[in-house]
Amino acid sequence: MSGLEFVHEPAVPARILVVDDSEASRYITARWLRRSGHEVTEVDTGARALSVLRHQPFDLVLLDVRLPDISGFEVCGRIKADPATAALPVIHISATFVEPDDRAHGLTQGADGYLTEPVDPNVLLATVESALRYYRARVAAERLAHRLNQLTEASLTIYQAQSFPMLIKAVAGGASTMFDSAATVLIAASEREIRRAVITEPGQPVAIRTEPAALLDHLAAARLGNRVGSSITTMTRSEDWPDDMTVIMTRTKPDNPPICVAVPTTAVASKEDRNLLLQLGQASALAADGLRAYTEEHSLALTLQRSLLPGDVPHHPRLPVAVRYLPASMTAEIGGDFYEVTNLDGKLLVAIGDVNGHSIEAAAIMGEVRHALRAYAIEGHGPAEIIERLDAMLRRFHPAGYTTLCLLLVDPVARTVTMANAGHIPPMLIDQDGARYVESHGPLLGIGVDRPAAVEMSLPAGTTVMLMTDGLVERRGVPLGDDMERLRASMTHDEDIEALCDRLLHTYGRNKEDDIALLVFRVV
Amino acid sequence: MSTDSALVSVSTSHTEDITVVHVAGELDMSSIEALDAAVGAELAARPRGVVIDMREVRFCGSSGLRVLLQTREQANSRQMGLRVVATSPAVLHVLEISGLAALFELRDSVPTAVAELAA
Repeated sequence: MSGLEFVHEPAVPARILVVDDSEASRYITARWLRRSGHEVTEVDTGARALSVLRHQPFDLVLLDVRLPDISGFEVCGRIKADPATAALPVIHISATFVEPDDRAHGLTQGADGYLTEPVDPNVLLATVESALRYYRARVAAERLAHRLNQLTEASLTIYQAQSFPMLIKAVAGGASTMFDSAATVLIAASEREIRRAVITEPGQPVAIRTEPAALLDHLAAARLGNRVGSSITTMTRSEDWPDDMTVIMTRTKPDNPPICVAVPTTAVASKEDRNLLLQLGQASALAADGLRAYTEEHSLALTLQRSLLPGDVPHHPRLPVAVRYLPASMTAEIGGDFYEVTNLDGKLLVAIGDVNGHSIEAAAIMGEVRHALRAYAIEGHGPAEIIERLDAMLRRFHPAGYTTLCLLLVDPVARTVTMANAGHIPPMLIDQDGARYVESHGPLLGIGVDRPAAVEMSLPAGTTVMLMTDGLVERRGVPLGDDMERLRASMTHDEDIEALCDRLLHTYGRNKEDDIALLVFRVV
Repeated sequence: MSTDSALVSVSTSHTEDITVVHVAGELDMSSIEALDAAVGAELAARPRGVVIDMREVRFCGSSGLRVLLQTREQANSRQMGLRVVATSPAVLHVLEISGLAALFELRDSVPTAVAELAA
């Protein structure tokens, strides 16, 4: 404990307030204290004592019991009643002979010592030292407890970070709050670059900038090598460091880049403080590892999902198509939404679907469904037959791979469409008469039951058809029908189809927990 | 028995050898486990029939439908009766869009559903 270190140290200078109406005895007391190195402020009344205590920090009060205005006992009572000064040690000095009762009265009012004049200088100094020792140990223990609390809070924020910028902000903020100081955090952003988060003084916002990786590489090579663990180093002020800094560098897994947390050396003077900084560094490194693993997995899943979706949509002069695909927000898992546009000898096969579940497995099933549907299509099967076959395929190979699918075969020359819907959100038709859903609801795929026949419709020139997945309209707490109706009511028949897609994603696509696929075509 | 997560609460009651699973709240992939586990445990006890009471479900995502479909498959293969009680648009509309409304014996009251299965 740092508080106990004082036991072995010579008198550490303290800020002492001497309150005494007798100029002579005040002078003598103050002189003794100053001679042993203390910084002394003198006042002659209780009111002045309370006033100066409100504006100036002190470590101890020497308080005459008999003051002209307020009694010393009362002054002491008020000091102890105010949370800002409650911990401050108070030693009473009485100029007259006192009864044991008075002495007891002073101590029960909260005084930490009681001296009677004439006071021997050595007794005075020893009493002051003793009270200060206790006071400082208490302050150190309270400070440590407070910083441990702040470490816990900082760790929570750090573990909640969902991106590297959020993480280094949380680490820099945590270090600055804990040590009431500036703070610098370095973390690898890639093999060539690091991010540096800097707080110049407590309460200031975090500034983040990107730098070459050389500094972190150099530090790591010199202090940590490729080993797992932590090192604590003091760096002298330079262009890399704004001050003489104590730097914690931690690596929790081999080959992962380390993370550095640095605060001014003066802010972590005790062993306990450096230990807290070490713990903060370790929590940060663990959080960074978790985030790194998560980011890699997520980006792998996204790449896989992308590779299973069409690269380009075929261009047909009589049937312009606009598509959008928006993966779920970073915090969610990938989903199984898909779309398909294939040119079949002048007709366009257009599909939109969603495999149940949010996982790489759902994305993989989506890929199979998409390929199977194209294979059935080039064999010449119509939408209803393709859906029958996909249903059987899913039941055989993916019994829990329930999938919704809306399949359209469009003839742009005859301006007709054949449509079969397997449990998917219905397509919307938009023309001069308004917008409406095509209500034909066959059961979703994977359950092997009878299905309604395909629907045949004509699509006069100017008709727009919109297909979507439920990510666009499904929101927690809002009935699906309400959002579908809101969407329908917002449609106009002549809005540019690319602009329409952008508008819908802008309105409905923000920070969704689900993927969104959107496909719009117009008969011209 | 009763299981609660932040989003969903699931409880079961038994009338003779008919089990009723009451679900309330929001059924999505983060909350579905509670219903999945409760239904699984009840089916394993091989009651004569199962009623899933979804009157208090405010949101039913595709994972809710998955559990309904799996329950239907298991009930069919074990020759148990199954009734779904649903009155809220949140459930009925999703069942309609997914084309599943005709696949389930939908009822609007638990006593009716229980009486049918017990008959």
